[in-house]
Amino acid sequence: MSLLWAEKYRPAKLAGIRGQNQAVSKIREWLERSRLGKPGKALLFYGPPGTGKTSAAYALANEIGYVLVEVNASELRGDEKLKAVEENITAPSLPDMRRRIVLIDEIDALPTREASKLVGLAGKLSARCPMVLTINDLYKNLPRRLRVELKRAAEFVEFKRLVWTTIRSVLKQISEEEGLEVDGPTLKALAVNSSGDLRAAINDLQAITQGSPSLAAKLGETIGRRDVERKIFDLLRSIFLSDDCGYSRVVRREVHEDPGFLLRWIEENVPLAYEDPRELGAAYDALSKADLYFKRATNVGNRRLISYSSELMTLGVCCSKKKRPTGWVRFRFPEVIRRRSARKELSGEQREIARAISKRLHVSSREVAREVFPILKGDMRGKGGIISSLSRQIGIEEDRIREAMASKKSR
Amino acid sequence: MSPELWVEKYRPRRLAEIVDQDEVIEALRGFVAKKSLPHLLFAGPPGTGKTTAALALANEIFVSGDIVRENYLELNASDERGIGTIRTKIKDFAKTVPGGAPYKVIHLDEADHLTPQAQHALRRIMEMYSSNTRFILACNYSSRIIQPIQSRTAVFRFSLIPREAMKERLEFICGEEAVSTSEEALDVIVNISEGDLRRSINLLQTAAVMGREIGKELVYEISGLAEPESVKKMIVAAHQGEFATARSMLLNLMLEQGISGEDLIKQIFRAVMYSPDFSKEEKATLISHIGEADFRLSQGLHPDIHLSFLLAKFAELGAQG
Repeated sequence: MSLLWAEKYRPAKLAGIRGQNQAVSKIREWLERSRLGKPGKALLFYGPPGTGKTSAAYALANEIGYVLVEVNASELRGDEKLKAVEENITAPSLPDMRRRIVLIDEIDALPTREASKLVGLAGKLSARCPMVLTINDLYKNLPRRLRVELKRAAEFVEFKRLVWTTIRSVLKQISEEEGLEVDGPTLKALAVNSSGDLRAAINDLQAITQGSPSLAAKLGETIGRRDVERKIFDLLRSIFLSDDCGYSRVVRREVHEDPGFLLRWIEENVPLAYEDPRELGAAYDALSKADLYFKRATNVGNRRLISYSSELMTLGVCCSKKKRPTGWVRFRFPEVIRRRSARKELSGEQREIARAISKRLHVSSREVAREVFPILKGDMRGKGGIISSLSRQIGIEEDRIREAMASKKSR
Repeated sequence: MSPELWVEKYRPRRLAEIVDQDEVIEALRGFVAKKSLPHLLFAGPPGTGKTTAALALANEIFVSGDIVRENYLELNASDERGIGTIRTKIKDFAKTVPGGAPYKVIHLDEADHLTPQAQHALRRIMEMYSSNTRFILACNYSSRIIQPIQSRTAVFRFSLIPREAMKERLEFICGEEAVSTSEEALDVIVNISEGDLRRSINLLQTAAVMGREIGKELVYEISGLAEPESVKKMIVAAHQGEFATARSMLLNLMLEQGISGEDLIKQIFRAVMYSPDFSKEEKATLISHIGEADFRLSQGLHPDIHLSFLLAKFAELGAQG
């Protein structure tokens, strides 16, 4: 029954898209031209998250009775993706003979080379099948060349951040539909806090009404305003503050982030949300198992195992609590990511030197790295005599050894 | 101080000079006297003299340095890329007639790093060249060597270097190098090294090149281990229910001091076992938690998460008692 309201209340028609009048009229113009039989370009929807890009694509498809086929760029990498897109476009029609629109989300999540191929493909095929591309930012992290290619292949439609009053009115409508009474200040706080991201605001509304309503007033203090963080805070709230553990699973799917990264966020905040040692024990048991499955998935190349990891870190941690936290929890950024471990893998150069020394010392290069490198590092600060005599013995110049020892990338 | 690595400088050149391992050495000297050598398997923990014994054996059999160089090949199974490259190297080495000696000697270190399949291949290689070649295989655990190889070799077990013998050796080196250390620091080195003489000598030299007085703080600093006191504080905090404090101590040890998860869990284990604060029953419970955490740590990706899991278990136990 845990349905995301952000999905449930997606507008069916273009007219239902809120606060994006310019964008909608541009889409209508494009539609008009293609109805007149002029082969159109693809459409590029650009704008911050939660401003209606995906919704507009769905609404457009509905409006003209097409089926929308979604290709998530960040999920498919490499040439298979291009093939998948091409197949979607050139494949014979669906059984019910409805034509299709292809939606390619988040093209900025792709490596430039692949994005550029994809854009080329879109330009070539858009005459045969309407295509919608989306991107968050036209300028940030987007190479100029790619922007030029995009301009050639697609018509640009801008989606702006929504003003808070629009968001508030949508929230009000949803809470009425759901038969909830949410007071004005809370709705305003949610709307303002979302920084123009309607989806985040709807998610917050759902989290709060299914979680702890009294927390709403304090929202603005703690919720991060950056886009990624906001999504993650949605997830944290759903895990730690809500009783509905199924809900946290639904939110997790909305957060398109690396499970390892989410694991770090969740782990950081467990000690803040849970104080009872039994809750801590159960939550950490779930997290530690999540970490195991995550590693195993990569070890054996079985992506299915990742889903166990994801369930453990959300549902598992959510269910570990005996009761909902009563106080306000101030979520925070993972310390481990902030501080980055000092221990790293050996660099290629260090590995080579370790090998050369290991031949000389009759031990494995692993042991050289562990036991002899510290001696060399100390020697470098001191007289340097060991390095220079070793350099003659193994035939690697002193400077190369020094540089390798000085580089951060070792213990 | 000499500008050399001490493990190399003070490596015994003759069998008789090897620290401890008396029974093994006596048997090996017998082979030298009779000038006959079977295939050998040296099993034992790191730093107990396996490689040194192999080298010393080669020195005594081949007598002159030139003949040693010509007839002695050393390979490390964990450094070579698979049995294929090992086979090629052995083939190239073994196909020429041994110069000035009845046979050549191939020393293959860390043989237990080879998969069972690779070991079967190795067995065939051993047989193929046994007319003019002897193998000395070294490993940490003989149980990880397949039975067919064990049955074709004379197995020698090297044991951990006893504390006294190790300390004596370190003191000897300190004297030779004119390095002064406190008695306490030397004891810490011996403790940390856990019977691994090579590690103890490397630690001593690492401490010496720092150019500071060698005290126990310096030794911990360079050893990659936490001071036992801070490990104790961390588990006590967790046990008393101060989980958040314990966790930030943990992150400090790992991120600031760069101590590895494996080393930390070993230290936690030791701290629990020697602690008078836990009852026998509590220790039994904790050991199974430590074991579980250690296992997950070895299989998982983020070591700190499994250590935090362990600390949470300390907190749980503390809340029950």
